[in-house]
Amino acid sequence: MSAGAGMNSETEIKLRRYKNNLAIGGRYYIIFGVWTVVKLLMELTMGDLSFEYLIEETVKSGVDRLFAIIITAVFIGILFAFILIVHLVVGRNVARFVKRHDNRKRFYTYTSIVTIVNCLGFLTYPADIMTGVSSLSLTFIASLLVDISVIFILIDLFYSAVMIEKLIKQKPAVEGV
Amino acid sequence: MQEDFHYYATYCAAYLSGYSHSESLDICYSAQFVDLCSATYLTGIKAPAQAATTQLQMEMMNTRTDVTGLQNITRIWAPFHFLPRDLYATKDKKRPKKYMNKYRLICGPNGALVKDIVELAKGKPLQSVGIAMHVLADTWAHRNFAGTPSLVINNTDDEFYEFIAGEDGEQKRKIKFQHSLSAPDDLDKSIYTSSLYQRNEKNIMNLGHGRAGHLPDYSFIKYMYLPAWDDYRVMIKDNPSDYRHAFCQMIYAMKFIRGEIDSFETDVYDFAAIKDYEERIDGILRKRQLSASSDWKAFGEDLSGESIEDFDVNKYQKEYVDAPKDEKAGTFYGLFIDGAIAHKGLVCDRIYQSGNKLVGFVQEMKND
Repeated sequence: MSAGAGMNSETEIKLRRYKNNLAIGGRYYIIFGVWTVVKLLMELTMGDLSFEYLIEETVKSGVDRLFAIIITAVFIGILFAFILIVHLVVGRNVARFVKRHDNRKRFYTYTSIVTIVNCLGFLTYPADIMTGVSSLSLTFIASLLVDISVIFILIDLFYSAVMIEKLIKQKPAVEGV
Repeated sequence: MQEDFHYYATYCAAYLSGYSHSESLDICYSAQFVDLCSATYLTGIKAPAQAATTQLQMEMMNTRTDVTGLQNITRIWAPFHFLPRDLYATKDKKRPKKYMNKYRLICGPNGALVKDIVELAKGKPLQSVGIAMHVLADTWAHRNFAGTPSLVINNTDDEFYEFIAGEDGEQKRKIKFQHSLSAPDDLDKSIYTSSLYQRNEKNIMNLGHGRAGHLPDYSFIKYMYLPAWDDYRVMIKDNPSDYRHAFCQMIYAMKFIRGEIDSFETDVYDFAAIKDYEERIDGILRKRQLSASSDWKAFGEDLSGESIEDFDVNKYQKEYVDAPKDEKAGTFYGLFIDGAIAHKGLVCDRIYQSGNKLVGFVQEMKND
């Protein structure tokens, strides 16, 4: 009933734990992409920045109404696709790093970019409050909490990846492999 | 475990422990009946549903997973199929009581409860012996899973590997799981059926070894996996070895029940009883097949020189249904029902006395 020698060493157990952290984080990031699209969709249908408002603004610049509708829809479609693709690419890179560990550079580059973007985006919260664009509503707080958790997940991705690399380097020395 | 072990192998163990052919048949019938005695079946013959020793898929689908529903499920699966190994088990890191209650229901061999249930069967009808043997055997097959729906305990990840014995020693092969109940397991390609992953902690899919499919029920398989409860430690489950231990412990336990041995101790096995059949038993246990019934049956018939009839779930149904009300208790099913209720009462009482409320409020009824 016992496992083979070294299979349950402290190093192997830690490796599995950090790999699991990474896998969950990667999946969460993909789900977060879907959530971002849903949030934007809600904003466009029920928020101040509605679909109609965007069309009216486009019409004001002197284009035909039908053309304004098409251009707005295409723009929103591209935006949604871009958001989903970015999250999917980052998430899949995390999964690949966990399984094959052959995309080190890409993993760190992509994760760094999205972490910086998310941190910058996070700065809009205090700015919005100070300029009066947003108030401390429940929606605002919920959105804030989601963004905090995303930043936390991204930092955890980095931490887990670094720990995995450290443990892999340690492995031969510790276990004589 | 399935019919091959609970019926045919139990017959062999009973015969090797000294029971006659007909006594062995009664014992193995009762052992196998534990897997079929559902509330639906009992209601159909107007017997008390509280004696149910299993639940049908349909019954489970209709069971709500609220507190009472979960207690009903646990009251059947923990005593009869996943006997807890240690009701007072501890973990290195402190965990919430809610978690620990489930953790302490993890099944395993040689726990204090095994001794209790074997001692309970001593001096009782053969039906009780059969029930005890079913439960004892399952402690080996179902070890490391709990008889209560729980994701944090019973879940596994996808990294399952099977060890295939070959000329160059054991080879590791990845196991693939499918979730279609109608598709048979493909032993050549290591494709097995398991329950679907469900995020809900109390979902019925997270009961027992559902997430590992039928792997625990096959005697031939040796596999490696990551159980959710063991903090990222890999587990290697060696079924041929476990089933051999189960077989020899059954012989030892039945010798105790028959009065050949004064006391029953855990972690004792009657390996001497199978000395002359070691190779044949090992061959049956390691043969890659979905059911080993025909091999065990042939072995049993060679042992006793008698024919072993196929298992017929309704064999004693007419006797019970036709018996007058005051004589039902003396019928085969009547004795099985008494044995099942006594067994359930003892195990649930022990669980409740340990401070674990997952089986609800239970008190064992002690008869003279």
